[in-house]
Amino acid sequence: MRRTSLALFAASLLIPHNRPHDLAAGEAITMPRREYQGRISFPRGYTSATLPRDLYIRSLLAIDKRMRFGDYRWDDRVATTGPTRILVNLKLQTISVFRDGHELGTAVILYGSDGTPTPTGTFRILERARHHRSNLYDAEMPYMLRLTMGGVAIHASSVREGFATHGCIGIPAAFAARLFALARKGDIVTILPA
Amino acid sequence: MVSKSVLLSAAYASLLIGGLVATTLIFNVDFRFLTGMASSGAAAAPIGDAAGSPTDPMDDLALRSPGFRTKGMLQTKKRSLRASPHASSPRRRSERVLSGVRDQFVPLAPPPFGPVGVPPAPWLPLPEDGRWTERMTPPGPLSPIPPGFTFVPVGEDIITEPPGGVPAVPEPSTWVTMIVGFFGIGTAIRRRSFWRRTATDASSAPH
Repeated sequence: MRRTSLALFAASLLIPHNRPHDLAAGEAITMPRREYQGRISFPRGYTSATLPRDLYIRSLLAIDKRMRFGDYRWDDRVATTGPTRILVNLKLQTISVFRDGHELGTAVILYGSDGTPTPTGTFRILERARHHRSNLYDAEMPYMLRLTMGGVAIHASSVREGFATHGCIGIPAAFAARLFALARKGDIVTILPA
Repeated sequence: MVSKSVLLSAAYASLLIGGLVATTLIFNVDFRFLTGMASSGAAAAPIGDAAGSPTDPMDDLALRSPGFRTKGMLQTKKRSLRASPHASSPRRRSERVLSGVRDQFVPLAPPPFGPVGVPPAPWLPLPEDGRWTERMTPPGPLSPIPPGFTFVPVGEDIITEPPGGVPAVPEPSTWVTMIVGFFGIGTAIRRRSFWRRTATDASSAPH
């Protein structure tokens, strides 16, 4: 018994112990794209040079097909707590909602036209309003998440191809309701330029 | 002499460590939190796939994008202004008219003929680039064509007939197929007329 256990222990030490899921500091490895249950997972502590430095990603929704205007996806089963981050990509015309690094939802957006561009950078949600009526344009803006005091906000709108906003970020109404329920005042929104 | 309790404790310790290692290997559980060696704050590492599939988050996000909105795109309906992240290569411009000069294949070298060692007979001279075009006519009087070859003017296709040609009398299988087809047609006509007659009789019958 004793000899057997000792032999097993010695043999177990000889087995190489490598776990490709974790990256050592400064280590560059190649790893296959890993999808599980409709998600693309990333290693712990993974940050990308193409993303904001303070945005860490643990998983993305695996959407291989191009979304059309008005489409959205939502899957919040993976994370129920944690900080909420919103990433708006004007170039790709998409919005992604992260919680604790997991992407919960994504949608196609409308953004500002050439004459009234959407500002880029990092913002905090200044105000939430379920029913809001724009002072500037006298238009309904349900599920509004205000980003600047100048009037730029994320709100529900009719997302159709060939349309643009006056600087706001328009998202589909059903997606806006889910995002509104999730986001809180003070949450960080990053808008990447077109 | 080592006491029995020391041996027992060593055995238990080895069992515990071996179990931990086995659990780590089998269930892929990270026990480094026990030793405080938990990895934290790993540096940004480029992640690529050997197969070339996108693994950068931006690449994954680009897959779902409905397309780029270029500057001035909303003011025009020209589709050429619409860029797409899905396009693998830049948009190729193609001509919509046939070009005036069309190159056709002309053998660059004359086929070998005659006995070996004899210099080949003069063939139709080729232009400098080794190709004839449709606009060009074979220059000058034609060289003598060697026996066994026919001159095919450039731009015409050689139409070859099947060897032996089509026999004038059909094969037996063809006859059988044709007869069976005639029987089928006759049967169909008879059945149709029968049903039409029956339906007419039924409708015209006194109630």
